[in-house]
Amino acid sequence: MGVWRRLRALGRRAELDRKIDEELREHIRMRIDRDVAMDMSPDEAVRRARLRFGNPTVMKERVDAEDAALGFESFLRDARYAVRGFVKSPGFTIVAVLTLALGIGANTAVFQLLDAVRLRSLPIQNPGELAELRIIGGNKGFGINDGPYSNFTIPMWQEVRRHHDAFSGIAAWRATDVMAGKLTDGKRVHGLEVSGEFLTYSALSPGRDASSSCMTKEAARFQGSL
Amino acid sequence: MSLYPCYLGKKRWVKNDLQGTLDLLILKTLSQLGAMHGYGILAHIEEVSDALLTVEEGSLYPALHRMEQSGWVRAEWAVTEASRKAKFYTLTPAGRKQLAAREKNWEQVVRGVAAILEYA
Repeated sequence: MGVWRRLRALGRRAELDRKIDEELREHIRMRIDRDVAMDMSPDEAVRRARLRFGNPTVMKERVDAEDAALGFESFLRDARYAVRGFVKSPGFTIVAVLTLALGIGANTAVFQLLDAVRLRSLPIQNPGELAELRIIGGNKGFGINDGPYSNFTIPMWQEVRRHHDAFSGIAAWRATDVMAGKLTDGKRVHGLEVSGEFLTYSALSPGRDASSSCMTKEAARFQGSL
Repeated sequence: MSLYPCYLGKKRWVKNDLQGTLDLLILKTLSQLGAMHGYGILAHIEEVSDALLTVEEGSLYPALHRMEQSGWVRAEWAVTEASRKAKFYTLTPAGRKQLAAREKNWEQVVRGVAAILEYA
């Protein structure tokens, strides 16, 4: 209810101001009328009324403040006041803006990382059904040791590929660095060596950029025959 | 320290005893006179209290407008007996409820203060 009144009042600022003015002016007149009726000289009555009433502008502003206290206009006024304050103290403004910028920037960066690593699902059809096969427990006679997890050997991979009843499909991959570009002007880039099936299951396809141009069936077959 | 430690209506602590009293006086006056303009309210309070209580315009009009915003009073422009245009205020049902709460509150304050004064 009050909100609607304030919304309607928004476009009628001038009229409201005039109304307050009028109300206060009439009040002074009534006081003068009474004093004159009680045998005071009109000049004296006006003087007394003015004296009692004080500064009419201050008074009007106080009444106005009550009307606008919860209004939407006060919001604009506050915003203007804030901007003026910022202009007046640039040092404070710079510190405040930098603090906000750094804070927001750091949060955005962390979120982007989290989004890429945890939140966004892999670009394949059923990311929930994806599983990774690994040999756990280091080099105890299985695989090629390459850190705490052992990699599958080619014969092991070929066995798994032939007998993977639990999965609808299976593919092999290995992270590697490859040289891209001309031999005289090569650049080392991160790449994946993958088996041919990898391209079928993932939404990736060999593109034009250096790292994915290695993911051809030939390259995979070459890797498979190592 | 607040003279009105009571809880009035919707989360409204009356922090300023003076303001609380002024609201009470205005609401009561309006309930006695019906529709009245600001000047009439002042005159009534001064007259009935034998000039013991004086309300300043600088407090009255902000209070009236605050009450209007809160929906305790309704205001209408009308013509006075002396054929002047004036803004007449009347109590709304919400204003009557406020008045009742404040009257009760005031009685408690008076009883409490009296008890302190009479303590021997």
